[in-house]
Amino acid sequence: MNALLRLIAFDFRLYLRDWLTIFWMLIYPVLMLIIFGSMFGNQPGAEEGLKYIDSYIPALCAMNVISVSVFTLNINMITQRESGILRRYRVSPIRSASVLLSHSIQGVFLVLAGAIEIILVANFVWDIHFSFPSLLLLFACLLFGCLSFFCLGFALSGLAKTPGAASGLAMIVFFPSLFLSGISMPVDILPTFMQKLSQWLPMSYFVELAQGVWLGGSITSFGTELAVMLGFAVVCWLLAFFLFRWEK
Amino acid sequence: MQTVIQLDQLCKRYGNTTAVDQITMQVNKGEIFGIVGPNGAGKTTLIEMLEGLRLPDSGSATVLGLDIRKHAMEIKQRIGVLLQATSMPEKAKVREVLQMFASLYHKSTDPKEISAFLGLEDKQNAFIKSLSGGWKQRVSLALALINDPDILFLDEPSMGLDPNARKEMWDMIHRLKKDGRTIVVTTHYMEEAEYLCDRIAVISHGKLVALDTPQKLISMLGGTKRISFRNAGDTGKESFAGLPYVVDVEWETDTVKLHSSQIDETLQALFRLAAEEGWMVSGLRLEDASMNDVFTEMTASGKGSEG
Repeated sequence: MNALLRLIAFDFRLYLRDWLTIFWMLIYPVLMLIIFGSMFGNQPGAEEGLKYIDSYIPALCAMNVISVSVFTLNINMITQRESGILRRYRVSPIRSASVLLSHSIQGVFLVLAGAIEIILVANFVWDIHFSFPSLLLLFACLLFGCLSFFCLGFALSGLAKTPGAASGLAMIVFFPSLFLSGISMPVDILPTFMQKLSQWLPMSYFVELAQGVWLGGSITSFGTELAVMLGFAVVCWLLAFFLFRWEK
Repeated sequence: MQTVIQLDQLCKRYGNTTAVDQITMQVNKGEIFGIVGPNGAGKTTLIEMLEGLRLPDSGSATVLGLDIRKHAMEIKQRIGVLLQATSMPEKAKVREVLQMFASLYHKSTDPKEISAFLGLEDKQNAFIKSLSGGWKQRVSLALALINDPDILFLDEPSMGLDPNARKEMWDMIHRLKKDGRTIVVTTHYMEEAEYLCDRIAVISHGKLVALDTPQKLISMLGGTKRISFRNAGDTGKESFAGLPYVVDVEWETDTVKLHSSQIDETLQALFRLAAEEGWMVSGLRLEDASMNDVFTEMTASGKGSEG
C-alpha cells in the first residue's frame, strides 16, 4: 500500500511538470469555455429557464475525460513503454496493476480538477444553474466515463510506437467526438448524415448523460445512456486487455 | 561453492523457434558470470526468465533457491536489474527516483548511502533529463542497487558509454563483486567479458555451447596465436595459407592476420616469403587469441563444441 501511495505521489509530480498536459487539461478547456461562452453563453438553452452555458459546462467536463484518455494517458504510456520505464517497474516488485492504477488516478485528478475549474470560472462570468446534488451526480458520471475512456487510452497506446504517431491516432478519435457529440454545438443543427453518425458515437451518450444530471435530471431517466456507456466500457476493457503492451 | 542460480533443461519457445533450448547451468555465489552470444541467440529471453519477467515452457530454474514459476515476486525483491539509462522519467529528479524505487522494496538501502557510493551526492536535485549518458548510467546502477540485492543483473552495462565512463563502470562492478554480490552480465563486447567475468557462458541458437573461465575458453581454441601485418597487396591469400603451421587467415584490404599454432616457424617462413617476393613485412604485431576469437569460433552458424 505504501508503495502504491509513493508511486502515485511520484507520478503526480511528473504529470504536473508536463506543460502539454497542463495546457490540454487545465488551460484549453477554459479557453473553449470563454470563447464559446462569450458567443452563445446567455442564449436560451434546450430547456425552459436554462441557457447555453448551462449545457456547455457538463459537456466540457465530459470532453476532458476523452482528452485525458486519448492524449495524456495514451501518450504517457507510449513514452514510458518505449523508453523502458515500464520495464523498470516490471523488474521491481510492484504489481503491474498498480502502475496502471497510478496513471488512472492522475487522469481522474485532472478530470475533476478541470471540472472544478470550469465551474468556478463559469460561475464567475455568468449566472449559472448550480446545485450540490447535481454536482455530485456529475462527478459520479465523469468517474463512470473514466472507466471506459481510460481503457480506450490504454488500448490506443498499444497501437502506436512514437508519441507523434499516437497524437495522430488520438486526433482521429478526439475530433469527431468533439464535433459530433454535441459538446460545443447542439447535434440538432448538424446535417442529417452527421446526426446519424453522432448516434454511433459513445461520446454522444456520455455528453447527454453529463448534461442531463447537471441540469437536474434524475439518473433513472437515462437508462439508454447508462446501458450504452456500460457496453462501451466492456468493449474498451477488452481492447485494452488485448492491445496494451508492457514491452517495446 | 554455493549455487545462487540453478537452471535445469530450461526451454522457451516462440512459435516454431526455440529461443532457449534445454539450458542447464549454475551460477555460483560471488562470481561475475558472463552471458555472451550473437543477437537473437536467446540471451535476453534467458535473462528475462531469471528476472521473473517470462515463464519457461519446460525445464526449471531457481534463483536464490526460489522457483521462477512460483516465486517471481520474492525473486524481484532480492535481485537488482540494470536497465538502459533511458528507462527513467526525464522530468523526475535523481532524489525522487531513488526514494520512490526504494519504497517499493521490503529491504532497501538508504538512497544517501548509494548516492555516496556512486558519487551522486551533488546530483540529487538534478533532473534526469539534464544528466549526461555516464551520469544517467550511474543513477540506473543506483536503482539496481537500491534494494541491496543478492544478485545483480547487468544488461550491456557499458553500451553507449565513452571509454572513461566504461572504465569507471568496470571498476564499480569489481567493487560490487568485492561486497560479495553475484553479478550476471550480458554483453556484446568480448573485451568487456574477458576483463570482467570469472566464467562465461556462450549461447548460440538458444543452446549453451560453452561455459568456462575466459582463459580456458581461449585455450580451447588450440593455443593458436595471431600474426598480423600490413597487407602489401602483392601476395595472394593462398600463399599465406600455405605457410607452415598457419591454421587460418583473416584477410582484409589493409591487414592480414595469420592464426598460427607454431608462431616461430610461421614467422620465419613469412620473412622468407617476403624476401623472395621482394616486399617488406611492416606493421607487424603478435597477439594471443582473445574472447573475440572464441566468440567468432563458437557462435559461427551452428558450429561449436559442447562443453
